[in-house]
Amino acid sequence: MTTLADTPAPWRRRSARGRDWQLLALLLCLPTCVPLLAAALAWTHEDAATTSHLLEHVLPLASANTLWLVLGVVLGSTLIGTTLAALVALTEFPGRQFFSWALLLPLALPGYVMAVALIGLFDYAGTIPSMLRAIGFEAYWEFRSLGGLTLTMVLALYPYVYLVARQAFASQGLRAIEAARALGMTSSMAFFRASLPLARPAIAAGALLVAMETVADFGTVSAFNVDTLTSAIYKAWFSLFSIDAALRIAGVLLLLVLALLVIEARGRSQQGFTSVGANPVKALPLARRGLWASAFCGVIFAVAFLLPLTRLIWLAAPHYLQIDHRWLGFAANSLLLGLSAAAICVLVALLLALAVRERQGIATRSAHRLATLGYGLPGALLAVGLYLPFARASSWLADQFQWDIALHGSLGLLLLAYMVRFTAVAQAAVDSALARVRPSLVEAARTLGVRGWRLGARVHAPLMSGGLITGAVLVFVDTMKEMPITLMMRPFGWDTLATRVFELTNEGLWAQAALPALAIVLVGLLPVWWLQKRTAA
Amino acid sequence: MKLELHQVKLAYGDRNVVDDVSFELDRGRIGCLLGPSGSGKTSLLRAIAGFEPLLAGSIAIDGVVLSSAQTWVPTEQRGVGMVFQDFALLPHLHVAANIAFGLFRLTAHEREARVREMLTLVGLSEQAHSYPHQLSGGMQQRVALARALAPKPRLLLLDEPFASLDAMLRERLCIEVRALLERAATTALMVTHTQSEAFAMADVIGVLDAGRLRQWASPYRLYHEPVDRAVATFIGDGVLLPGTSHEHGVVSTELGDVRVRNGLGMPGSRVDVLLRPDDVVHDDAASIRAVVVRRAFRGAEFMYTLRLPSGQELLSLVPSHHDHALGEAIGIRLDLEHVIVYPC
Repeated sequence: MTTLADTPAPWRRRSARGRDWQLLALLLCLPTCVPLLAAALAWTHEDAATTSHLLEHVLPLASANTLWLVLGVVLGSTLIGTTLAALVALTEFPGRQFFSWALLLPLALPGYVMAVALIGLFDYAGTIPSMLRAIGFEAYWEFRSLGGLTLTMVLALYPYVYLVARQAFASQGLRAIEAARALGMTSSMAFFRASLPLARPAIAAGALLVAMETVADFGTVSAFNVDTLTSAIYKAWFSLFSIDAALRIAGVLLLLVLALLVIEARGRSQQGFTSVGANPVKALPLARRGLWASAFCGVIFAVAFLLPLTRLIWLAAPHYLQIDHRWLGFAANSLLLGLSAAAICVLVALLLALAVRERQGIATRSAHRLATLGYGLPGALLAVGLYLPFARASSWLADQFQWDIALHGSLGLLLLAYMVRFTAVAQAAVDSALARVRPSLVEAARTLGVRGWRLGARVHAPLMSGGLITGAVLVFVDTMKEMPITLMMRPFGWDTLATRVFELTNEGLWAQAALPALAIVLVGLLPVWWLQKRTAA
Repeated sequence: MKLELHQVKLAYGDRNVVDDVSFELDRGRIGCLLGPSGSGKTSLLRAIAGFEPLLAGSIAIDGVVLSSAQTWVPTEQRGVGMVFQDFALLPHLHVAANIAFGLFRLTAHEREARVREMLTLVGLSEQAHSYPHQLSGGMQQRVALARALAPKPRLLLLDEPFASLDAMLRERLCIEVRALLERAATTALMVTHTQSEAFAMADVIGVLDAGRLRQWASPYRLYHEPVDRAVATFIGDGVLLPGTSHEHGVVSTELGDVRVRNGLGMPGSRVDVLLRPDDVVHDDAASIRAVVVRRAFRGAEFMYTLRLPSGQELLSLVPSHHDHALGEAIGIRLDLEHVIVYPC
């Protein structure tokens, strides 16, 4: 038996340091717990008027719309994403090389930007229906509807499925198909019996990500003016001025999110297919049918990227004079928030990763997991779930101690919300950066007499910088695109590019909204470029 | 330079991993800790490097205590070099920069000269500006060795230095590394679980089992005079042949009487005699016959497994022109120089 009293000095020092790390990790995941608890406890106190209003007029429609939307978007993106991935990864057709990366480009277009571009084209007064009417074609399908919304979000989100499914198909190679064909199957039979089932866990993971993004979406549904749970939170808060009602809606949204997280956790524990053979894929030539594949990829690429982008440029071009000092202020605000969030999230992710390394145990691992759970929480939920407790705390402090510090509505709280939501975005990159600093490297350096700042400068910094920058770029771009948290929590008068898009589309000013939307797209291309460069090097 | 371990005890939480280990390693000697995985040999090495604290006992170099229950000199002040199992080369630095990594106290001029010297020592002058991932496993290991030797450590520690290399390379490298260490006049302590590596490298070997040091001796003595059954069966091939002890140091066995030096307690008590394969000699004229039950061809010789009429099996190393079939009975006799017996 060992007790602290008879253990030698370095041992004791080490375990004390470990406890500090554990404490820090628990502290860092605390901000994630606040909105979770607030939303979970929203329905516990009695408020008959709010409850009956919500149950009668808000929740039935918002919940139904949300569910239909998730169903439609998940089905659509899985179908399109998987088909594209199988074509690109397993077959040979004209333009395959190009489409392989080009089909990822819609990732740079957030759903609401896609909406800005497409609504002006397809709604009643839009370009295409007008042209159709001009040639005597009177039928019109209301584009600003659940259907149009679903279509738009499928185009914006299919790359999530495409990306993971392509990876799965490419790593399994043609071996699975060859083995099946050796057993007498035709190539399409082999695809459905061997390749597709092998890729299923990856596809499911991609589809789940799409579901989470759809549930969390606020910008696109607002542009289409479809009531979902997220837009209902905003309306309750800023139109009815009932933040309590908003929090109750967030509680319902939380149920949906938790269901998805449970599915995700189960999927994660069941994923375990290994790739069959490590040979690079030899693609299946499609001969004349290859042109159909090219055409299919081409149509998706055109509708999901070329069309919206040209439309945005076309809309924005006449408005370039809008770029005045006020507009530069929006851009500067976006930039400042993005950079701060990137720094904060990378730092928090780094501290969590270090805590897990320094103190192995259930506490640090749970803290790490919980802190990265924030990415699953919709921005609208986070905003109201963080705002209300802090607003209450502020007024309590003011009552009790006459401390007049407005915790809510401050830049600090906004950044805290970004931290909760986007730490997970940096975590994977930061974790793998830290993993490059193997313990034996540090020990080797110490046997060579290197320690302290020199150890950091000569071992940690060069090995980790690439991963840390990657994490920062990803957070930066996500923050620039972020709409609901920024909209609901920004200090008064603090407009950013994303909130400008919201306000302009809210007033139906599609053309004016195109300019900030375009700026967001250009920033969104940044990580695509950076990651391409990193993997090429 | 002299490394001294005195009654060292190590534990992870409540679990003892090393208990009551004492040995001394003299200047310029190469020592080796040999034991199965989980025997505590790597923990012991890491304790000497200063990565693991001691629960009891002491570790000293030249009479200065580095680790004990009360004292702990930080790794970087111990003057020990270490070669890691995964080599721990810094992937972003080329070979010369890796070797120069620990030489930051030297002037640029001295550093350059020392790096060149080390590159020549390990024969990698051509690869000075290659990066670790461009080198073969054997080359990476030589870089690791050069880097550890560059600051002229008082003691070099090697943690399973050949484990990540393929078998063909291992044997050659053992000899190379030994020659290298001799040229650099380094005192070194290595950890391995492979007996052939220990025999090829070490002047003195410590056999560790379940955290205890069973024996600390030269390879020759370890093979021919193992202190107990555990060491005898762990080191080398061989069998334990049952016998009965008589007066005047005589033990009678199925293969006849043998004379032993050490006292055996009461006459009439049961003992086991250790027989190495080279103790059992094939002789057509011998009266004792044994049946071949297994044979392994090793080029210059056969390793025969033979069965005596009682069912007792023996191992015998026979020159390879004596090609006997399975089931054949061949004549054998004992050729014993030092007989080791263990009481039952």
